Amino acid sequence: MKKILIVDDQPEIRDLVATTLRIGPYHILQAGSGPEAIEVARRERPSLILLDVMMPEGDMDGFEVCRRLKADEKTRDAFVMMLTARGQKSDIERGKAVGANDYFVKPFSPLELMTKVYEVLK
Amino acid sequence: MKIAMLFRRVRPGQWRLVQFLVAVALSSFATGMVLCLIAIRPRALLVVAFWVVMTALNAIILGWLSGCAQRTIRHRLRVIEEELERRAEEYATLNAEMRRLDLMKSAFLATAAHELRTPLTSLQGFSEILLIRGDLSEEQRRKCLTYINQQAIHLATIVDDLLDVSRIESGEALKLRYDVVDLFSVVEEVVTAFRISAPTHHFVVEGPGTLALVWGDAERLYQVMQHLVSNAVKYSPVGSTVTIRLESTDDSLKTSVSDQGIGMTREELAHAFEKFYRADLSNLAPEGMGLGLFMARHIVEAHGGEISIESTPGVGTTVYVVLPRYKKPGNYSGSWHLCLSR
Repeated sequence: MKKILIVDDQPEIRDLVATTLRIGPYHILQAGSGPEAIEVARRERPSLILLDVMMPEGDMDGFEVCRRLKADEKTRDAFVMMLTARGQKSDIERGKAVGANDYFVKPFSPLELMTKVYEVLK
Repeated sequence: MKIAMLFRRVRPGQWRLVQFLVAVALSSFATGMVLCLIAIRPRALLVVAFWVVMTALNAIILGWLSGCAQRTIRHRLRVIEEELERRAEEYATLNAEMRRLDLMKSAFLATAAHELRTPLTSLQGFSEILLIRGDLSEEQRRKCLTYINQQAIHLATIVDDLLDVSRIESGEALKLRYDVVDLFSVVEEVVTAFRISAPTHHFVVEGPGTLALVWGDAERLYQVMQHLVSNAVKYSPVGSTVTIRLESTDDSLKTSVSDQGIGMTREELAHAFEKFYRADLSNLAPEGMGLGLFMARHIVEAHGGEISIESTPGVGTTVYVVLPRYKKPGNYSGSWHLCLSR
């Protein structure tokens, strides 16, 4: 079963994404902060990481988490999808610059997210 | 010197005319004298000498006048230059301030959009899950509905805050529903809510030792305390203590909310009560729209109170709210109606 790691500081958003993706044949992992995300990613080696940009805790935002994941050979192969409440171009560019593979803009439709995740992991 | 002062009144463009008129006057006078002297036939040498003296005098006076003119013009130019410099400085300061406000407004729009999108994501997501998934258990359905309900309420609070700000902006006074309010109970209610929502922090409440009654709007005062405690939690590290202390004097009640947080610099402190002002605009900044202290100040001032901040970077921040005490004429009967709407 493929592993998906959901990283968001807001529990209800994590729960939303988890509830959405649980329909599929995936093992869902969750992390509430940047440092926790890196720790879980190194241990569990997920195939896909859904990463929120705005995260105040632990002094590490989504971009920084992504940069560190892509710099670590244990986690660099994971597909990183930035989950951002800002659809601004600068955020998308910054995501690309730190090695994110794709992005998804909030608010999102669970069905669309499901389809996108399915395509990425098939 | 008096003549010199008189010439200061002449505008720079008129100097040539003055010079010309003086020259004509002196020349006419000289020529007239020469003609007169010739008419009464004196010795030619005297006539010539007189004419030479008059011409020299003419030249000297003209030179002095043009010197005066130059000095006046230089003086005026200096005044104009100084004025221009002063205006340029004023303009630069104004421009910088406008740019700062403009940046703050754009940052506010981005944060407000983010603040609105977060509950919207939950609303859209959970309702869609309810719509497309018929296989959810009763418990899961309830959970989705609870999220939807909570986030709708959260959304309403954000919109209320924005409406309050726009009301204050348009010069409308805040409408207060006055009643006798026990401020200590308000503080305790706020802290009880935070003990649940922010288990990461310790909360200490110190009472005034007497009844803490004020004449005001309980809901608005709740809002003030909530903003202050929320800021204290947001800007202080996990595991630290937030202390709320009530002190009472004859005329007033002083509430202080202290944290052991990051504190504010002098520059940040100067802008702390401005609307939309948020000291940190990065992705790591705590959530919020930068309206808390702005709203708190307006509510406290509408109650005839005062709000102030003391802060040391790296040590912590204390916000003081001083409100006039409620004094009932006559003796205290012991049966106050405490207005606690929450």
